[in-house]
Amino acid sequence: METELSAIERKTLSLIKNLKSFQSVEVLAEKTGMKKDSLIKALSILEEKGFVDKKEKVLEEVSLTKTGISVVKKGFPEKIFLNGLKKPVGIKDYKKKSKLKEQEFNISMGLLKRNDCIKIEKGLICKKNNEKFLKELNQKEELINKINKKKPFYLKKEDEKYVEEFLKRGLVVKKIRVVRQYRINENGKKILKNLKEDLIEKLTPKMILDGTWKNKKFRSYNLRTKYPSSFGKKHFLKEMTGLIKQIFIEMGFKEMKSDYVETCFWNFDNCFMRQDHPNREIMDTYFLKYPSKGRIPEDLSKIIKSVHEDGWKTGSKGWGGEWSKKEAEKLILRTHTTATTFRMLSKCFKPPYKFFSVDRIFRNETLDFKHLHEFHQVEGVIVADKPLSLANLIAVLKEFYKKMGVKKLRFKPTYNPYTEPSMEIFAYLPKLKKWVELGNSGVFRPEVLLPHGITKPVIAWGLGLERLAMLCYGIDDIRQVYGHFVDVENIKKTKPIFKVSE
Amino acid sequence: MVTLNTSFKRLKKLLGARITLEELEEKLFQYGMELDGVNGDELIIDITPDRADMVSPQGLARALKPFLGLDSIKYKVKETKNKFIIAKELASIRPFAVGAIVKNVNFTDDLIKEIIWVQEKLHATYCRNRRKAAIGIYPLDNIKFPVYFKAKSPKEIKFIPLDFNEELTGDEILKKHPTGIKYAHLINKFSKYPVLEDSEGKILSMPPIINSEIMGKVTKNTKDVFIEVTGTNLETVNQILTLMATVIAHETGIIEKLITVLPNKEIKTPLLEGEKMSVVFNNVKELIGVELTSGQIKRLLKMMDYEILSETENDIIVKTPFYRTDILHEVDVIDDIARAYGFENIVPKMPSVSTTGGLRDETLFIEKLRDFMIGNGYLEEYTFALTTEEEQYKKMNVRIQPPHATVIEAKSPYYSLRTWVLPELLKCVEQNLHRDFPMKLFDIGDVIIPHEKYEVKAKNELHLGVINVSDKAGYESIKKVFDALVETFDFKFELKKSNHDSFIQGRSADIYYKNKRIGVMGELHPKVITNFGIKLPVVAMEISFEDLNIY
Repeated sequence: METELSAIERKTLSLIKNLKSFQSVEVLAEKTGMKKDSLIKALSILEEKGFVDKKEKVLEEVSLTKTGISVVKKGFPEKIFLNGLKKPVGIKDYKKKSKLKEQEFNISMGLLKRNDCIKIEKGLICKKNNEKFLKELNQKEELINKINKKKPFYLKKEDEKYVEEFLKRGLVVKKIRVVRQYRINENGKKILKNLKEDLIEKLTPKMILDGTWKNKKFRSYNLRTKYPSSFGKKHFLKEMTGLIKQIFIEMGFKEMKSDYVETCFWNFDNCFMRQDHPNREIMDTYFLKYPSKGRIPEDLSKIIKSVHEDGWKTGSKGWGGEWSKKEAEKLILRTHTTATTFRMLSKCFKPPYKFFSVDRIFRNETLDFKHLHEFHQVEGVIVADKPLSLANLIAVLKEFYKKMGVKKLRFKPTYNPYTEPSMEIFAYLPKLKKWVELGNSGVFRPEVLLPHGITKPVIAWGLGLERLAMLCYGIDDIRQVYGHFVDVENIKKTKPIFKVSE
Repeated sequence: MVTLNTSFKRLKKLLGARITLEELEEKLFQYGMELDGVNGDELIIDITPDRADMVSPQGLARALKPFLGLDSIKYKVKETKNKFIIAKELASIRPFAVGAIVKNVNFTDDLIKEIIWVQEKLHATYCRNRRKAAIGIYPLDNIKFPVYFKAKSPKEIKFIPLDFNEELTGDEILKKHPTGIKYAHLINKFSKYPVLEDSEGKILSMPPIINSEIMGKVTKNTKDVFIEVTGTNLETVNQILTLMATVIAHETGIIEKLITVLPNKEIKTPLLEGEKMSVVFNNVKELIGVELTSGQIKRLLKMMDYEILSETENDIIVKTPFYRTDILHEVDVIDDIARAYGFENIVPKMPSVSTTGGLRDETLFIEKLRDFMIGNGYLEEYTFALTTEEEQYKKMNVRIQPPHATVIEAKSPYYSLRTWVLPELLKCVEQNLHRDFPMKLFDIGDVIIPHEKYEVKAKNELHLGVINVSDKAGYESIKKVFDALVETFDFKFELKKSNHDSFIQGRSADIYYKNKRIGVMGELHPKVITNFGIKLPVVAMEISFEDLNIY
């Protein structure tokens, strides 16, 4: 049993074994000569192990104010007043002569007069001998010096009267303090008797070499102690990204990527978003001040212009009005990775091909618990050598979400400028016992496919990574999902996951 | 999303049907709407932004009736010889206006409230805050046709605006009237303002700002109204006029088409005709992936309020509902067929599209790099790309800011795209000062470097940022990581003494690859450390992998 004590704990116990009553840490530190920090640590462990008793006492700590400190240095003003008064003197003269400030002078004079230490006769101050007052003054001096020297100074009954006066005079302040006091108990004394002093603390290379460890015992450690740790770990959002990428790869998708900075042309115009679409306003989209204008492909831009104005040869009416190239050349931070998808579609790969990305997008939002100004979109697109239908899309989505761990899905018709039909994806999460919107999907419109020479319907879908992470990890403030506001403890503590939605 | 606020009672009355709230919710979902909130009898319904026609309880009922198997709404329509004349001089100010008359309306306080709600909702959304289009409604009694839409100098315009009791000039309205102040920016750059006048010269309104108190205030006593929509796009003003006229005429009203005289043509407005469209059966099958008979297709089209005009073996000719503004292509009609069929009823069919999957080489490299850093005991951070110049350069003690991309306007305080990752990692520490130290963090992410040669005048560049905050952190602690990195990946890097202002001179090194500076490492300058409120030494390293051609 004794081996459970560390060296410092043993030392503490043996140093305090003869002290009878409960003592504060300060007193113990003084008496044992130990450092206060290590003493506190040792005592609290010893208390936990049941070798010392603890008592908590509420005490009033008295400490000096600025005025109090100056009194310690210079003495009480009434004493200075009295000491300077050798013979009867006029009030005005004495005021000039004395070292006291006017206010101190007046207060002292009043005080002394009330206590019958001086009297005023014909405008002259005369000293009177008041032994009791002088004795008390000495006691006060003693006390204030004690308060000054002994820190912390706890209020005792016998000092109460004077401290009360000091408080009124603004010389001291009082604070309530809870003080822990310790005393060795019977268990502690018992264990001390049985202590063997030659336990091995640390196994050193020397001991191994010369064999001095033989016939000795090792002190056992407290095996449950927690130590502050710094360790390496993947960020949980990257972990989730990794799982999603894995699903895409299993389903035969290749990863795609494009730059954060994008032209309106790829981000909006290729997506058949009319040029006065509300999302294209500066209040929703980050337009770049520098650099502000990008290059767009000449031939394709002519086609896109025609698609917007009259539908080109897609069979569409188009949006009417005039399409502006200048507007299309403006640089923005991409608002969706669909911009990446269209860059891929424009490359005229031979179908079939499937692409995916899990990447960053930007929206001009106020950062709060519900909104981030940059976040991540998961996106997948399938181009086949045959037309792909809504029935195909539903099957692919069921497969994709099943791999994420979501078994029940519902589909709601919705509107996207670049897909028709379009479906919002609702997933049933058993953990939350509710349906949540968890993605958007659709069949690309001819207006966005034909400009790239694609004649057969293409299916695609996307979802927000942060929303998924919040649902999955139970985070309710989106600023705790990623970015510099995230608590590092959360990165350390978040458990690994095996399926996205579980 | 656009939301429609109405009551269940009102909706049931407009539908003329018994329906439970659950049934309504289910049908809305199938149609593509969502019951977003129920508060007693009050409903909040989310509608998709393509369906301007549903921004009114009347419009919603109109679309839902055939969908529920009820009769479609038929409007009483007449024609008049009354003219609404648009002057040429408006071409550069507000070129388009169209008008309509609706008679025999039973205006109640509730209906007036509802109409104002619809008007304001349309203004805020499809009318782009009155810029693209703005609606005006006037009691018909006081108006002597023809009505003129013309441009006048602000001083000549004098009338009592709504909710005022004194006459103001055009300029005064923009300065004194709350609505005038709010929308002044739409016209105050012109020397002449748009104004609506009847044949006796009485001013009806100053579009798109405000109506006249005398000529333009609809009350419970009003029976007949004149409606006009002015704007910058002819198609839009026509669509909005059609929506507004039908909302007002929905229950008892009679729509009277009048003659809108535009500078280059005359049209009878409002437009109440759908468009002819052909739907090829095979396209329906291909797009939805369900085999449907022509009978089924016709039934589904009727549910969506289409009129069947004719049919051949291969296709069917339909007339679109006149109030729909969102049908641009055959696929939009097929989408309506799918909605009526019900997405839930579509049997999923897994397409056999055989491809192989894979990650980009860059991603594979990032994974190796991440493994390396985690193996060295570093915790992964994930930081923003948008940041501030203050943090990227000033707090980092960098005197000359490198070229970096900036945005014009931001609601959050981040206007600048990062050119390096270290400041972002220091921000992580700054937010976590109360946590345990040592803190060893890294982030692998893209920074944005502007350059003329790229199509988008900037490029994402992959960077690694590493920091170690510890009372024991010294040059050695980061050099060890660097050495291990070089050894693991066999990088051919060289080191030179660095003059980087963020670091302590003599304790920091620039990292070179093929004579190009690609990174820096060393002990951070105490100025930088304290700028981020950190009280411990920090060592750091940043490397760009752009020029390494490893992926």
